[in-house]
Amino acid sequence: MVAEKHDIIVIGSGFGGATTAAKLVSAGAKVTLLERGPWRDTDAIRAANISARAPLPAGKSFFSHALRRVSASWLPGGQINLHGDGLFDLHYDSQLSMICSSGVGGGSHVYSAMNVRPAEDYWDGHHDALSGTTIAAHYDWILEKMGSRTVASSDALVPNSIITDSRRPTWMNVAGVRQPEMGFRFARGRFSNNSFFGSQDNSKVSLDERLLLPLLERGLSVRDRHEVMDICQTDQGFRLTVKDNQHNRIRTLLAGRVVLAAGTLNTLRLLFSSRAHGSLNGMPALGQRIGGNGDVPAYWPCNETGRDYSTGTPCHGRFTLQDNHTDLTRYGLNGVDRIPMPSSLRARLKRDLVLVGMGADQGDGTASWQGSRLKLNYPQRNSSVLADIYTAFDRISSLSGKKVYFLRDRPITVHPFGGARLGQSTADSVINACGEVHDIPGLFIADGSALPAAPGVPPSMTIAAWAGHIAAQLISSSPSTHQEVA
Amino acid sequence: MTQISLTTPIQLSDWRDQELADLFATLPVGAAPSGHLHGKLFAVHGLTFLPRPLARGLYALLSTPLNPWRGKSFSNDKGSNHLLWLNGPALGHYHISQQTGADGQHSLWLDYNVERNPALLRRIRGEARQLRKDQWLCRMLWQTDRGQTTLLWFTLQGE
Ligand SMILES: Cc1cc2nc3c(=O)[nH]c(=O)nc-3n(C[C@H](O)[C@H](O)[C@H](O)COP(=O)(O)OP(=O)(O)OC[C@H]3O[C@@H](n4cnc5c(N)ncnc54)[C@H](O)[C@@H]3O)c2cc1C
Repeated sequence: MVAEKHDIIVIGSGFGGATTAAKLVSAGAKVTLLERGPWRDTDAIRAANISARAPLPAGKSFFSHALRRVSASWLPGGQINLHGDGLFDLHYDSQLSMICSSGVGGGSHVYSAMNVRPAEDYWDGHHDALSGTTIAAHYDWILEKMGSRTVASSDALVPNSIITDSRRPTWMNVAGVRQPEMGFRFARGRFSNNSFFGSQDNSKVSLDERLLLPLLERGLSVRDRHEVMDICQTDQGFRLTVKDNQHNRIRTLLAGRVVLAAGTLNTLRLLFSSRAHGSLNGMPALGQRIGGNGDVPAYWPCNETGRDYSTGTPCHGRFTLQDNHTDLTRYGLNGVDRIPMPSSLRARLKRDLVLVGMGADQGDGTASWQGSRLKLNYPQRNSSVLADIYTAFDRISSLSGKKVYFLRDRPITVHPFGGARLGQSTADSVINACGEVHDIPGLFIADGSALPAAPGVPPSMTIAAWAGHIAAQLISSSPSTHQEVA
Repeated sequence: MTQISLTTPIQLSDWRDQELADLFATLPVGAAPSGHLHGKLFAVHGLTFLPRPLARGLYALLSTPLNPWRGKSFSNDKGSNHLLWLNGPALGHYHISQQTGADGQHSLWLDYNVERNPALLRRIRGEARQLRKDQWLCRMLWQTDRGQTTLLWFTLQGE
């Protein structure tokens, strides 16, 4: 038996993993990408003849395929694994809960396609060798790849956009509010079922079809339904223990270099558990300085007669209140058409909105490993961002006369970051300016856990830009790869 | 789709014979064990048809006093198995050397073909490689005229 040896293994195929893999392969490298979830059954993947597809949660597959795993300290064993092909992974903790997803393309299936750059000075001051200028070109690359642009007032066909909405309440201010660019195929004119539960017809651009498919013939090997369980440092690199759920087998793979991009939640799980088993050592700052990007989701049963907010782009746009500058975004329940439910309930949900408040929180939470479970601490008393969002939601309740429902003091984030941060030294951070773990050469971190601070805006472009930067570092240090990547 | 139910990443009692052989093939000979080491049995030949959770339960039973084997001791180029407690009665002695293993790579080789052993035990061979600091993954082989067959796998763990 000869062991499988790989030069570079990328773990996870979301914004961090797909970007790293795509850039490395475009530069001539051979990359094996391990993704725990399946290829999703969308038109593009079907057209590419990938046979092992799993449905997005819709119709009769909704209840089976919506959830992959729920973890909470009060569950037996700390978690329930519901379906290996489930889309969402929920982690409940009383101080901070996290939601992420699973499948080739990672978060791009469930995200609202808001492709936003953070403030210009975001990358400054975290490492002497890094600045906004170093990363800028990587933002341009991913924004262009995702086909990102803002809704224009000339886009008459786009329903429910906040900027073209003539029935928008007067207290919703959009003047001077930067609207998000969206990775969306506007020209197709299809505006339904394209948001949190995925986009079967690829109206929303996703990473699997946009970045990965074109490279399958060119040195990229994607192994779907392969969940990495352990990363062990060896004399020659790394030994990965992988659950291959496609063939119901445990595999051992060797890699010279590993790029870890399993998303903040799962990267932290993997690093902590590998360290607890003695497979990795060091990383004294692991778990330090995590945050939720100030996320507070809310449900606003505005029940507006004659409206159908469930159609349109994945997000309907950003706003503030006239007297409060908190950054708020509104979304319809896009996708509700494909969820089995009584038609009266569906009709009602279409008239309601989801609101999300967000902002650059302190990122001063911590993650630790207790038993075999990730425990999150997120002190809220320091966070004026959350307090401002709660105030804004209360204000909307009183301005509209319709109560906004949200979990006060129990934040839930879809934008977790930090815990394996970029920084100057081993004492205060996990990775250096190349994305390499300070005290584990050859292990790179290319996802949300690497971010040095809260972007304050949706983070996918920032994660992809960071991953692009890592790929560029790997390419410049590797003689076999040559093309220009940024 | 069947999912492997794997509770912890390196709970080797969940692994099948071939999966362990793949892992074994990636391991270095590493440092030679010395002194008394705790043993744990799993992946017994012929039981691979059992569903993983059932096999895990069975191997957990084999770690209770129902199974008198406690582990092995190593001293220079000799060693033996111990029953009942870690340096309890010795049975099954072996000679230790470094050799090319069944997969063509270096292993620590435990050869039971020594005079002190009863004839039956002399057909046993053991092969060990280092899994991590103070832990070795080993397979027990049965030597026949036609070659060797893996009987079971075990780990040895320092105290
Ligand atoms: C409902 C929702 C809406 C969102 N909307 C937006 C938005 O509009 N704009 C925006 O910028 N951001 C948005 N986000 C956030 C965005 O999706 C994430 O920030 C982004 O996907 C994170 O990228 P990542 O590479 O860190 O991880 P992910 O994109 O989550 O990718 C990680 C991948 O790794 C895989 N994985 C995990 N563990 C393992 C393992 N052990 N082995 C192998 N593979 C593994 C996962 O299955 C996943 O595919 C949204 C998120 C959600 C949940």
